[in-house]
Amino acid sequence: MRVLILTEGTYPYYRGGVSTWIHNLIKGLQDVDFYILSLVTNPFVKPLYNLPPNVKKLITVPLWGTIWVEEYSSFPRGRLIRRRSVRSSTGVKDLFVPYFQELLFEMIKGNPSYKRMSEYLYGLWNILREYDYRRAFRERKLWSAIIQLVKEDPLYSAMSLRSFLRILEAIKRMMLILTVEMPEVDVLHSSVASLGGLPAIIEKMDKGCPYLITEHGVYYRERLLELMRSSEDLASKTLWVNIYKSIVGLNYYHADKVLPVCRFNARWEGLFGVSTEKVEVIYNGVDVERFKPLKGLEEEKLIVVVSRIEKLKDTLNLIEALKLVLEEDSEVRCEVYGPIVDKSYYELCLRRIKELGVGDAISFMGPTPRPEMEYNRATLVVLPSLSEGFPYSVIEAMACGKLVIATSVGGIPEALGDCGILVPPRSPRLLADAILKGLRDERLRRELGAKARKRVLRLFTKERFLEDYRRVYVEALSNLKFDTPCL
Amino acid sequence: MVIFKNRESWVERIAKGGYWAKAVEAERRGRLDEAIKFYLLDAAENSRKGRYLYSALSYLSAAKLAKESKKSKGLYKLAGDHYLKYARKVVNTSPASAIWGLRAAAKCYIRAGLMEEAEKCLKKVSALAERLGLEEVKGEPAVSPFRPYKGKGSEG
Repeated sequence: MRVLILTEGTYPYYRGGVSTWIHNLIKGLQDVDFYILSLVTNPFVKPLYNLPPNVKKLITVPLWGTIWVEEYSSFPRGRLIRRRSVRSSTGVKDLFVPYFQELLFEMIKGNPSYKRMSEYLYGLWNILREYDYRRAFRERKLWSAIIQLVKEDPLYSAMSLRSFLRILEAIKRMMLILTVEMPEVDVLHSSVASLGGLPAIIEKMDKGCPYLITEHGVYYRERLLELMRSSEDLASKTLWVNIYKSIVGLNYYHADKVLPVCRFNARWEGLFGVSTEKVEVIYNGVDVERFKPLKGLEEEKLIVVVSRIEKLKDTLNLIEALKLVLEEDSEVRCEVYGPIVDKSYYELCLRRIKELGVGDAISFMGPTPRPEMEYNRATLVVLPSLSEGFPYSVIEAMACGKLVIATSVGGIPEALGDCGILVPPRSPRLLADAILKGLRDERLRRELGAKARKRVLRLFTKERFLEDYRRVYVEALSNLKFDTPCL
Repeated sequence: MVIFKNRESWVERIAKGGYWAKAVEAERRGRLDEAIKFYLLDAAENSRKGRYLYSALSYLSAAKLAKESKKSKGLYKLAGDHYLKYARKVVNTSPASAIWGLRAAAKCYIRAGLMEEAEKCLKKVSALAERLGLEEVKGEPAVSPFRPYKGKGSEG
């Protein structure tokens, strides 16, 4: 069995929950051959994981930093040279431009026809197999067509030139993904319903391979949150929303199965019209032999947070809560484990720490190779996020028998059940109160910690997680056999 | 950037992919007898290793390609038997997978004309779901995460 995993800004180049999920999946399913197609921002990123032996190929697609993306993939050299040597622009004018214009119209109009979008996308992919991508995007007729589309719309035509050019450049970059040569596989599995899924959609249309999507955070929701905070004008925000919506919807339209990591995500998928029959929640699982209670390690008044440093993880919420905790108990310390992925946000956190005078109590420790030790050292574990899928840090801490205090976002309430303390997001006062309660009440910590471990053993084991995915792969292929007529 | 893990020798490349990949390739090229042969070899190999899920899939694939109905029915039965074995094997680890395995076995038995066997499998599905109090974790009906917009002066 050969499975292609499609990733965007995650494995194996960046750390985080999605990367951990993919690494665990590949390492656990030794009987499956994996191929990885990884979308990254630039060609200079270096893998942060040792790829397991059952990874047969890693195809990296840098969307920025190069225009010759094929050179970074396994594109057949003969075809590459032939394609570049096509000098005539007739094919581009007659074929590429009309397809691209129609595709763009579907993407920006707000209520796209996924059937038509698929046809145009497939058409473009076919054209780009023969014609050079760079030549296609240099065609004057193409840009005139795009300007015409925007001019005709009363809202989009009010967009600033700067925003318009930025969006065009981004769309141009997005289309790079159509030039990627795909490996021969049996099942396509995307780790996000986004741009990264487009090659899988084309492959499905071309060869009929089943397409599965696992949703961690809801991509569309996270993009909306990002746009809400951005300083773009209304017209470009609307354009972005429509583009995201069309890409996400197209992924769902083609997916044979959507596998959210929690029920919370399924709600958003329902909003896109994904039928409940197509959706199955598969919770993440942890290695309960590695993540287990270890006696004698627990330290007093130590809060441990395992999370990346970025806006969505809301480290500022933690810092402000810590200030309130320290007003009641000055001996409390907090250690934050995780990579800094947003440097400007990290600097903002440092400024806030200085303003509040809590610098002695909080330490940013960077990523840890032994999170099980840090959980066991903790008096309690906190996750202050604004948005989450089904975070490993929560179920790992639960498996270690720790009291977890977390914000009630994404799949966290489903993970914790009644075995931890939930607080609303962005509420430092309530988070501080919960932390103080947890620190002061040892009996509560012991009871909830023991319950949490039991809950993990019942619902969130690595064995169950792996078996579910092994079965889902075979199920997708079996359904194909059951549903198609005999030859 | 393409990273070839353990770059293969030419001998390995020729033998690449095992029986499953060869079967899929033969099927794609329309060489059905060859495809059936490779699917059966793959099924036998996986069955020997106790990987019943994969052997069931290979028997099912071979059954689909076998044009002679008697042979096809026999292969559907084998596929059903292996889905059943798989369901038994994983019932404690992943009840959802066991339930799916039983359903797949039932589908195979129906194609093999073994209605009683199929019925037994479906009864086991109900019993298992009831015993575990398991409802499949499906998606929920669409509920808008946004509050509905009410313009000035709108009713309700």
